[in-house]
Amino acid sequence: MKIVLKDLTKRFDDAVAVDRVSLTFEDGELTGLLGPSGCGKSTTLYMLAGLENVTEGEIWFGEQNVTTAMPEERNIGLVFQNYALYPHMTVADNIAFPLTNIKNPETGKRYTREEIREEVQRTAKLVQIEEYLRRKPGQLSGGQQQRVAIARALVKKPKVLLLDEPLSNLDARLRIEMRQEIRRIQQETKVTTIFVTHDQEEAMSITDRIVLMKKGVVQQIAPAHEMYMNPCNEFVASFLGNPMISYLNVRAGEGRVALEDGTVLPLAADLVGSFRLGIRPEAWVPGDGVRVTLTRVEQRGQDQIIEFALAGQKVKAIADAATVLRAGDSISLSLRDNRCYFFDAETGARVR
Amino acid sequence: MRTGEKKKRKPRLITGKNGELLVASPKAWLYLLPPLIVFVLFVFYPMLAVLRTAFYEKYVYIISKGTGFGLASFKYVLNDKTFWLACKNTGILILVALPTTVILSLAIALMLNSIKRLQGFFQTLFFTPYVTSTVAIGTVFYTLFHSQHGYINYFLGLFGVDPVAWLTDSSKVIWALCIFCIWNGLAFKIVLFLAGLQKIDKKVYQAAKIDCAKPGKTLFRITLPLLSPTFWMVIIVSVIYVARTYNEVFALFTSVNSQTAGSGNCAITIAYYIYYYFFVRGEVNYAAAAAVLFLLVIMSLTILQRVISRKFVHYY
Amino acid sequence: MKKLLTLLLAALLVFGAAVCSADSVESVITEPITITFWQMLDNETYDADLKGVVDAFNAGIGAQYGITVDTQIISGGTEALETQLIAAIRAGAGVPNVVMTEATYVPDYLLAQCIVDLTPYIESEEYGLDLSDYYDFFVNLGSSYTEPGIYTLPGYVSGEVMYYNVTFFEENGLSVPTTWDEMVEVCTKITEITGRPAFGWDDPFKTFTTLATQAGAGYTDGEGNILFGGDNLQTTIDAIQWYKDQIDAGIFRTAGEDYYFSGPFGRGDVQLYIGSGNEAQWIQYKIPEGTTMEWACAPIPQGKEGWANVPADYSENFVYAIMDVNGNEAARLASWLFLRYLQQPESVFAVTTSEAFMPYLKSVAESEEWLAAAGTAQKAESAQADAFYTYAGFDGASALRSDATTAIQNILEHGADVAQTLTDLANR
Repeated sequence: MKIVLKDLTKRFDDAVAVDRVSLTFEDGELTGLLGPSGCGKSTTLYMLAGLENVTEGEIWFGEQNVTTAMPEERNIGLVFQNYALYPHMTVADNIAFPLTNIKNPETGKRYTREEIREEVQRTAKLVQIEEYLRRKPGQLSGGQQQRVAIARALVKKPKVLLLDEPLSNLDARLRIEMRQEIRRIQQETKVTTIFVTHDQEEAMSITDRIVLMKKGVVQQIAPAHEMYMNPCNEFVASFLGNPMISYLNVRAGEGRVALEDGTVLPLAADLVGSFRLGIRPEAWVPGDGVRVTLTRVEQRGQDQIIEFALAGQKVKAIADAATVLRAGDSISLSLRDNRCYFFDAETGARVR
Repeated sequence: MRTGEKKKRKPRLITGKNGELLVASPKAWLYLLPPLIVFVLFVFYPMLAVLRTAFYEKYVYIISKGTGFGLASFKYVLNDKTFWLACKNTGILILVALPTTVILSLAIALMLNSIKRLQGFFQTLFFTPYVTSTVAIGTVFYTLFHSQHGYINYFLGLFGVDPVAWLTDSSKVIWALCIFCIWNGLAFKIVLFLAGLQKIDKKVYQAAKIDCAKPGKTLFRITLPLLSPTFWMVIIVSVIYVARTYNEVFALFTSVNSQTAGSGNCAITIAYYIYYYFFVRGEVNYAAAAAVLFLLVIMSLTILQRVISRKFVHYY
Repeated sequence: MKKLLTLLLAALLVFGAAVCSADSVESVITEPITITFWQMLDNETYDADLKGVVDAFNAGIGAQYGITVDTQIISGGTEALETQLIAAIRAGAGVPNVVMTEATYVPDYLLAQCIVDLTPYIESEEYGLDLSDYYDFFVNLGSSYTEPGIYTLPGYVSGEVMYYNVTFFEENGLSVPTTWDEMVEVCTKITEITGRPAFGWDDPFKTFTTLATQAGAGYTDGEGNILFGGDNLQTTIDAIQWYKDQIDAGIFRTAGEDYYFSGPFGRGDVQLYIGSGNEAQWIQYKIPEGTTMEWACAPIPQGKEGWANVPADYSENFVYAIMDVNGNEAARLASWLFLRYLQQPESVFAVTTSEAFMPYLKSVAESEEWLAAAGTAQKAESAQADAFYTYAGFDGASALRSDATTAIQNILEHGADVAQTLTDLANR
C-alpha cells in the first residue's frame, strides 16, 4: 500500500508539532522516521494510525483518503513502545483478538474458531513464539513481548504496519537481534512498514529509506547510505554517524582551506568564504597534513577514538587499532576529502 | 578487649523455615508492645468478653455478673422472630442493594473516567455523600420518603402512582432502606473503581481501537477483566460493610419514643438487633449470642468469596 | 440536795440536747465539702431555673455548713446519664452524690448497692422532711422499689394531657370529651367535617398501659408480674380491640411516620391528641406561618361504659437519688441537706413556672401564684395528679416494655390479630 502525506500539519494550542509534512511511503518498503525527541515523528505516526486528529493536510492510503477515518477502518497494525499487550489474556488470545473483531476478507463472514487458530499459529510461527502461546504477557521477557506485539499487529494482514520506537525498551544486545527480526518479518510479509526511532544506528541498519525530522519539519529523505554520505544540512550530518561528525570554522579561498589560526588543512576546495567544515571521524588518515597532540584516546577493540584540538576546537577521529595510541602522543594526520562537508556558517545548509 | 570499649553482644542467629538466616531480636518486642497493648485491651479482650457473655444463661450488666454456661442464649436468639426478620432484611440488603450499588457505581466510574472536562467537579459531587454524616442524610431522606409531603411520592404521583407508605408499611420499609443504602454506598465504591480504572494502561485502549474492537467489546473483554481485582476487592469490602448496616436504619427509622427500627421493628437489621438487645432491652447475653452468630456468618461469606475469587479474578 | 441535783441534771440535759442538736450537722460535716449533682435537662430555661435554686442553696445553707454543690449537665437525656452513671459505678470512681434519674433504673442501683436509703434522713428530727404535702403518688413511688425504704424523691414530674384545637372546637360547637365514649362521639363529628382522622396518641405503649389500667387490668405490679394476663386478659383484649376499631373506622390514627402529633396537630390534620405535657412548648413552632390556631390542654378522657374505670394517667417522673459507694457520712448528709432544699415549696415553685413540669407539692399546685404563672398543659397535668401511675423498675422491665411496644405497634399499624398478639405477650 502506497502512503502519501500531503502537507500534514498538527497543532497543539500554539505549538506546531508537525509542520506541513509531505511524504510518500512506497509499497512494501521499510521506512524509518528518525529524529530527536519532540521532532514530531511519533505524532506523525499516530496521525497515520488515526489515534491523533489531523489539524491540516491529508493522508492517502493507496487511492483512499483516510484523513478522517477511524483507526478501525484503516486496516493497520500498530506496535506500541511499551507493547500494550492485554495483560489478562494469553499470548494466543492476544494475537487472536483482532480476528475476533473483523470479518474474514476471504469468506466475508466472521472468523471461525478453526480459522483463528490457524492464523494465530501462522503468525506465531512468523515471529517465532509458538512455544509461548499459552503464557500470559507478564511471564514473557521484553523481546518475547515485542514479538507478540508484532504478531498481534500482523495477524489481520494489514496494509500498513506502524511501529512506535519498538526497540527502546530492550537491552543493547536484544535490540540488535530484534531489529534484524523486524527486518526479516517485513521482508517475508512485504507489508509497508513505518518505524519510528531516535536511534540513528537502528534506522540506518534495517530501513530502506530514512525520513529525518527536526521540530516538525522533514530535513531529508534518503536511503541510509546516501543520507550518511550526502547530508543536506548540518543537522543531518550531525545526526548520523557515531562518533559524531566534528566541526571546524574555516576560511576557504584560492583553492585552500585554512583554520581560524591560519593552519592550512590538507584539503582541496574551490570555494571562497567562511564556512563550517564538517569532518567525519573516519576522514582522518595517517599522513602528512597537520600535526596534532592527542588529548584523549578511547579503545574500542576494533579501533581507537582519538580526540585532539585544532584552533581550539575539539575534533574526534577514528584511528586504526594496530598501534596503541595514548593521550599526549603527537601524530600526523591527513584528510580524505570525500568525507568532508562544507556548510553555510549561518543556515547550516550544505554548500559542498 | 580494651577498657572503655562498649561490650557488644553477638546477635543470635536462627534458621527460618525456608532455610534463610534470621536475627532473633528481643528488642523487637519492645517496639511491638505499645500497639500490642492497645490491640489486646481494645480489640482482643472485648472480643473474648463478648464470646464469654454469649455463653451465659443470664447476665446482669450493672454488676457484671453472669450465671450459667450453655447455649441458652443462642437458643433464644435462633428462636426469636425478630432475629430472623433482621436476617431477612440484611439479606435483602446484601442481595439487592449491594449489587445495584456496585453496578451503578461502576457505571458512574466508567463515565467519570471517560469525560475530559469537569472531571474534578463531578468527582467532588459524587464523593460528597461519603463525607456527609449518615444521620444528616437520613433526616433529608426522611422528608423525601414522607408519604404525604415527600418528594418521592410527589414525583411518582406525576406518573399516576398512588402514594407509597415508605416509612410505615412493613412491606415497603425495606425498599426505602435499600434506596438509602444504595445512595449512601455509591461514593466510596466510585472512588475505588476510578482508582482501578486509572491503573489500566491507556495504551491498551488504543491497541484495542487498532484491533478494530467496538466500544462494547472493549468494555467487556478488556476493561472489566482488567478491573476484576478491584471489582472483587470492592465486593468483599462491601459485603462486610452492608452486613453491618446500622447507621442508615437509625437515621431513617428510629424514634426517641420507642427506639425500635421502624414500627414493630420492621426495618431491623442484624447490627441493629445487637444494639437493640444490648442498649434498649438490656439483655446483654442475647446481644452477645447474636453477635457471635453474625461473626460466623460473615466469616463463612468471606471464605466463600476467597474461593470464588481464585477462579474468576484475573491477576496479572 | 435532791432538788438541786434534779435541777442540775435537767439543766445538763437541756444544755446537752441543745448542744447536740445545734451542732449535730457540724459534727458530721467537719470540713468544707463539695458535692456533685448530675442533671440531664439540658434546656436553657430549665437549666437557668435549677441553677437559681442551686445558687440559693450554695449561698444560704451551703455557706452555713461549708457545702458547695457543683452541677454537671449531661446532654443526651436519661439514657446518656444512665450510661455515664453505670460506667462510673462499675469503675468505682466519679460517682455523683446527687443524681436525677428515673424510677426504672433504681432496681439496678439497688443491685449495685450504691443508692442511699433516705428514710433515716426523712425521719430525722433536725433535718427531716414532712411528706404530708406530697400527692400520694409521689410518696408511694419513692418507696415502692424492690428493697424496703425510701430511695427517691420527686424532681421533675409531668403527665399526659390532651391537646385540643380551641379554634376548631368553638367554630364547630364541640365540647371537650371527658370519657372515651364522648371521645368517639366528638371524633366522629370532626371526621365528618374534615374527612381525616380526628385524634391520635403519641406513644402507642402508653396507649396500651393507660387503657389497660383504665379498663381495670393494669400493666405490671412493682415486682414485674404481668397484670394484663390471666383473668384480665379478655378485658385488655376488648379495650385494645375497641381502640383498634376506632382506627379502622378512620376517626383515630397513629403518629406513624410523623413520630409526634405536635406536627399534624399544628398543621390542623388532627384536632385532638394525647401526648406528654412537655410537648406544649413545641406546638407553637409547628403551627404554619400565617395561620393562627388557639389550643389548650385538658385532662385525658377517663373511663368508658363497661370498663372498671380506674383513673389512670401516665406520669413521667425524673426523681432525685443520693449515691454513695464509700459510706461517706459527711457526703451523704451534705447531699441530703441539698436534696431537702430542693423539696421546699419555694424551690419547687421556682422550677415549675416555665412551661412544662408540674409541682408535686399540693401547697404549690393549689397556690394562687402558681396557678397564675402556669401554662395550660401544666394545669391539666396537675388536675390529674390523683390518677398518676408510672412504670415500675424490675429485672427484665426493659425487655417486657420492648416486647409490649412492638406488640402494640404490630396491632395498631400492621394489622396483627389483637387477641393472639396480646395472649402471646401475656404468656411470654
